Amino acid sequence: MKKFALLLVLAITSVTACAQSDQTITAVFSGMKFKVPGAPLIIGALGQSNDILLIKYSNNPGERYISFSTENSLDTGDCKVGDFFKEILETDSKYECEKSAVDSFRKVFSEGANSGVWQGEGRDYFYFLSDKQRSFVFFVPDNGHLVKLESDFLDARDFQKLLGTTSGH
Amino acid sequence: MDSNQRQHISTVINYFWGVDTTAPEHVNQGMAAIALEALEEAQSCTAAMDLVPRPVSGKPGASYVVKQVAKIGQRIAAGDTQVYESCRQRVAINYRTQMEMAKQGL
Repeated sequence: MKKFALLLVLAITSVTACAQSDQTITAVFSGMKFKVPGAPLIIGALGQSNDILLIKYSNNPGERYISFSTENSLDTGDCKVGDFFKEILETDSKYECEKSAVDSFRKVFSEGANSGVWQGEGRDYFYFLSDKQRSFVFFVPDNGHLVKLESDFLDARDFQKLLGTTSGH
Repeated sequence: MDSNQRQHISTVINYFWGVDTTAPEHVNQGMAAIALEALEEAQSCTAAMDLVPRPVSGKPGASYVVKQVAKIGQRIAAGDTQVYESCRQRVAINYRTQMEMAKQGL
């Protein structure tokens, strides 16, 4: 818990300190660096364990935000995280994860979303993008903790720029 | 929002996001609205679409949100959730950031 809090404090310090002239700033979360749009209005650590890094660009409640959070409670249906998401995306169905886990995830995150996987620096980024609602990208940093990246205004290109990925399928 | 409604809405919020997520006295309108979205998503996931009747048309009003979430909070407190655990977990993850923002009024 204390380690998480410390990491988040460091992340927030980094966001504040690393302002760049090209209108992006560097956010650090879970040991990874991300290029997020500059000039945020609010930066904060939220959640009971302070395990959500919120970067907000509007003072209107619930609008124009980017968040990073650790989501270790995700039920992956007795599959490894990567195998679970591949089954969700049907890029490979050999894993045979628990059906209820797959179906419920698809219902809540995939329905109506443009989904797929981006690759970057040897890591898979599983995306579920929506034009009308919030969009999500899940990935696993080197520390092994599942991270959920969420935004209500970034599009596919913005997410890829933020993550440093170049291609998807 | 009266004290009974706050109590029941906090029951819904703590059902999704854990027992210490909020106390009744800290419940606000934004949290009730996110709780209602989460309930609708969870019930859609479990195909129990008739648990929360939607208003005839348009965005639900503040009083509708409070009454519906409070009513379901009563049922959850009585052990009647009608939501599959797997759906509850997915919805909790989906709406966690939004609920935490609402708690802070952000």
